[in-house]
Amino acid sequence: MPVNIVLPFEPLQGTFGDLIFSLDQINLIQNVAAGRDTSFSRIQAIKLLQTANFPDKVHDLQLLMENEQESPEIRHLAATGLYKVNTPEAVEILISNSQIQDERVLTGVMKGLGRIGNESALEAISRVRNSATGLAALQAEFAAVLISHRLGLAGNDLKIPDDSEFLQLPSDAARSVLVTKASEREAEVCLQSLSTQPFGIEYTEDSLYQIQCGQNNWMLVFNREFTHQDAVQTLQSRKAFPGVIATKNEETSSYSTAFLLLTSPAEQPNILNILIHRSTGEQIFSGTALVEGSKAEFSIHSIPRPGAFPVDIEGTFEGGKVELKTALSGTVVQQRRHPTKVIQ
Amino acid sequence: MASIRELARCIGLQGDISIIRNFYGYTRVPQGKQLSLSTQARLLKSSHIHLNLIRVGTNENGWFSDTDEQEIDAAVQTMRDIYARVNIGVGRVERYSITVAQANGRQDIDGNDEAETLTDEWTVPNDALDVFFVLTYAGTTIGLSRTDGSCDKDAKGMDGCVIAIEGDTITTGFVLAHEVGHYLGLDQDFDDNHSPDPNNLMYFMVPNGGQLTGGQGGVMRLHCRMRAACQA
Repeated sequence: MPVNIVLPFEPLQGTFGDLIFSLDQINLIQNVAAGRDTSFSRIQAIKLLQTANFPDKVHDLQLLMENEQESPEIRHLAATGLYKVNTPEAVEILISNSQIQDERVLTGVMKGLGRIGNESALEAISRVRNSATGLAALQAEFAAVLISHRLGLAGNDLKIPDDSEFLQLPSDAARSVLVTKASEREAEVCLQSLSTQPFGIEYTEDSLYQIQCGQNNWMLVFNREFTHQDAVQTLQSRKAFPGVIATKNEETSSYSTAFLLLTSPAEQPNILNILIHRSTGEQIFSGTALVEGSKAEFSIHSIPRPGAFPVDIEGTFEGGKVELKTALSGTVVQQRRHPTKVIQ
Repeated sequence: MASIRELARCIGLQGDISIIRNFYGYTRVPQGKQLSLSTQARLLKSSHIHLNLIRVGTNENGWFSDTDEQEIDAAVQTMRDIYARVNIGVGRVERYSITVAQANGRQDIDGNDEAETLTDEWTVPNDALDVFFVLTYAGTTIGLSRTDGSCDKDAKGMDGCVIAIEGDTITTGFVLAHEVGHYLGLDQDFDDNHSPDPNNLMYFMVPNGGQLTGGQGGVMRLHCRMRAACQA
């Protein structure tokens, strides 16, 4: 269980993430979220709005996000809440707010559009790419990449790193990465966690793979669209978003989408580019796959960055199933960044 | 006050020091809290832990808003009060900043993966536990830590705690104490008899009773991040 704030009142039923409130409680939470009542924390009220059975929460969140008198924290949380609601109405609201001035709020809007937006969002995203600066522009760029890969659209291609850029695995400090098929129970826990973190794709329930790498526990989950026998042929024909890697947190016993697996056909015939990005857009791992019929033989390596560790993963992918030949990782990370000490 | 100087040296403070800003690590006396120098001295003569308070998304001068800084001060004192019940101290408390320009958006955490990423990317190379304070943490989680975390800051995985500023000093203090408790080896919400206890610090909701059992104190004292008692 995660650590949660004590609720100001008992819900009718449910636990965090799945709460059901009475009408009076709903009114109170809406009033606190809107700042009309101060009987408990506004941030908590907004978080409850995101997770509970509110009939019209999209509009509550919209009002908060659009109100320029509110703090960037409140507005950013509202933007995040909107994409987690994941309805066509929420997409429309995010698109119509792609001209918000505040960089933090606009960053939240772009992140949301990347995750739940469709082709109709690309024009608004493109405007932000061209007009905004800083993080909002970067998130707009990645939002366009995500939508284009998810829908297999032309344009918005990713930079393909050169082999020479990969982190080298030291031969004397490598350990095995354990990859096993997930149990039914663990797969269920993972898919339940991912259901609250929309990325516009549907996951398969059949082949989930647990990856254990040092203290990290991850789960490889494929997009249902790429689990059929001809999946590799589809990957060869267009850009794609074939799956995600979720990280398991021991404290919460839940999963969170950590890495997005993106592919594109390479210029050379029968080769696929594999690009693995953080959910926030940074490129982490990369590789290629050689296609032979319905099978793709892949290799994946790390890209240098603070906190990165080298990996050497080789295997095959066919019909939504993965078989590994090599799975090694380094034990030491690249130097992390150091925050600035503040003189007290 | 000679022994205070010796204790200050013991926790790594050099030269002239301010009792509030350096010995305690506060910006000012936390609101609504009373500080007892003798209690702090006694706790440093017991097992204690040092903290790096890393504020993510500060202004270019390295500060959060005044209200947020006060919330962090009060949170640390709440943690000191809770840990004192099992005779564990909080020693050196240093402040670090990651400005908005450096943070790459990590001041607004949208999921646990982003909290892990933050601790993957940043660390303070010293003997203290890294505690990252962020401005928002979406979803129902308000703090995250590994259980029985590593003391090797070059190792893979989450090597610090991430805490959200919630605009509520009591809550933030309990979250800080709870998450550091996890890092030091405490499991979630079970007491010595392995049953949930709403009065225990490690209960899954905060604020709670903030109690720690002797057994839990013993677990924390064995963690590699714990500093040995000062001999002053």
